[in-house]
Amino acid sequence: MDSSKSVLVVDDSRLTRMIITKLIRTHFVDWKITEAANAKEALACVDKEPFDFISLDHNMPDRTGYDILPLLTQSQPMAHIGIFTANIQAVVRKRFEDLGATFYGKPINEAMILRFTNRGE
Amino acid sequence: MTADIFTEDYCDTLCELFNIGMGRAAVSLSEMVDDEVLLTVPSLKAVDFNTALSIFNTNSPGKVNAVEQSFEGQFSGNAFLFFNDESSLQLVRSILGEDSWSSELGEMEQEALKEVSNIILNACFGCIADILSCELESGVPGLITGEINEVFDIDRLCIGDEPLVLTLSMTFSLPSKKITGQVSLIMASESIKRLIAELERFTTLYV
Repeated sequence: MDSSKSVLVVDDSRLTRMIITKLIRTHFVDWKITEAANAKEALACVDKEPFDFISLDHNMPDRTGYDILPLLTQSQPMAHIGIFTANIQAVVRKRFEDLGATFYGKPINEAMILRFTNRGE
Repeated sequence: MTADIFTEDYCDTLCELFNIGMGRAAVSLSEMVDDEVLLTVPSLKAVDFNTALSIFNTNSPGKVNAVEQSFEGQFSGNAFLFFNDESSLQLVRSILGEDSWSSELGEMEQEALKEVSNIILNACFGCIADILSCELESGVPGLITGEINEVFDIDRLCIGDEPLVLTLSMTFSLPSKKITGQVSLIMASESIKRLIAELERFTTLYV
């Protein structure tokens, strides 16, 4: 896993963005990490550059992760998208998995980040 | 102590912990009523007591049924779960079965409302305590029915001489059953300081 990858971290919580960024940097020092604090910023980011991984929150103030997932997928078909959400109800998980995303329930831990980042390899 | 002690970063951290806690609580509630629970984005304000009353009056106008549960540990406070009359009855019917068609909250309905609130609040605060590596003991839930001013009785709440209040609110709903509830948290100044210390300790891990 020597080649540098790029990650987009989408979450309205600064804490969660910090946690994901820190855990990724612990294992992949050279990876480029971009943060988006809401759905609008996320859509602007994917319009600008390609990403290998996108971590996506569901419950955000402007639009939900579920709303923008098809737009992200359309814009970045090669990116592996992981949903990181506190809303861990079975019906919510299934809805995301039906759209091809991988689902991770918060709180986020190192094992989750390793699973997420290894998916694209 | 003024409201600005609770900075934007503390607000963000506590909102996210609350979001995770309510996510856990939503799973429990969803299993009880066999339906999806919709959650709003949490909002948090550190305000004086009168401003808190005004916020709660706006969020939950008129008569409410509030289940109150105290929690104590590294920090302490009172958590409230609000329902209006219709939501209370719908929730109780969803859990006790459609045969329960009482038009008001009788003794059994009140017990059911307290128990479901107990499960929701403990799921939420148990999760927050786990993440912060704290231990929080919850008290026995009590049901208060009345206007917001009666629910938030400053003398009963014992929130000290500097009644800065942390109002943390999140709404959950079950659209198919017309059930809407709101969880709120009220903490006194001294306890907010202890909570800030715990949040600082936690966020340091990720800086």
